[in-house]
Amino acid sequence: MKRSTNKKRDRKRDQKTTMGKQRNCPFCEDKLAFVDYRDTKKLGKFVSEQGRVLTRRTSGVCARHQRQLVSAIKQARHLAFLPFVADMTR
Amino acid sequence: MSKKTKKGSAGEPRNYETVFVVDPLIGDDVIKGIFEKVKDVVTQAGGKIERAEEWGKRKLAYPIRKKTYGYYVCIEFKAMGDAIKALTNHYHITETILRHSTLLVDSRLYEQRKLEQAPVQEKPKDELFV
Repeated sequence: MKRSTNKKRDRKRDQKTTMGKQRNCPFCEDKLAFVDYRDTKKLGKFVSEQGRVLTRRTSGVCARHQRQLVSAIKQARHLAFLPFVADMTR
Repeated sequence: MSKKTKKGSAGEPRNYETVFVVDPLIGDDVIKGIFEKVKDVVTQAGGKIERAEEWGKRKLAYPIRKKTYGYYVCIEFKAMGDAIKALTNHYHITETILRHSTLLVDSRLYEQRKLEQAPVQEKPKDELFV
């Protein structure tokens, strides 16, 4: 019994450490100072299949860039670069 | 955002950019006419055009006034706030313009674009907007 609990704890610890390492903001990596609403190709990566903005948890964007990203996506939607709601035709 | 954008204290123009979408079915000549007119409105209101480019015909992400395609035009300029009023007024009058937006360009974005523009010119145009 003792052994198994230890293993569980160890696995959890390992997960935690790796999760911390995996996070890096794609905008920071490109050394972008500001998110551009014209760059539709890039913005499209941070939008779900339905057209909703992805959370920071899933996309790994840093807080500063997420704030810029949200307004950029909204601006892009107004100009019909991105959809407000993607049509789910099946 | 507002912290980093320079507030135009009397007599200091700021960086703006305006994008508008026209119905492509009205013909190239009419579109060019609209393009020139918008430029005129900006310059007459005391603005200075830095860059004016046509992004061309693109598919809209959703239909606007039952149109599925739009012709995009972008103009970057330096102007005082009064020019924006004149511009938006002009947009409202013109019926063939489907969408328009005029934005203050953040100083960080402005400098970033300046850096990007040099190498971008060598690349084919398609890479910028797909």
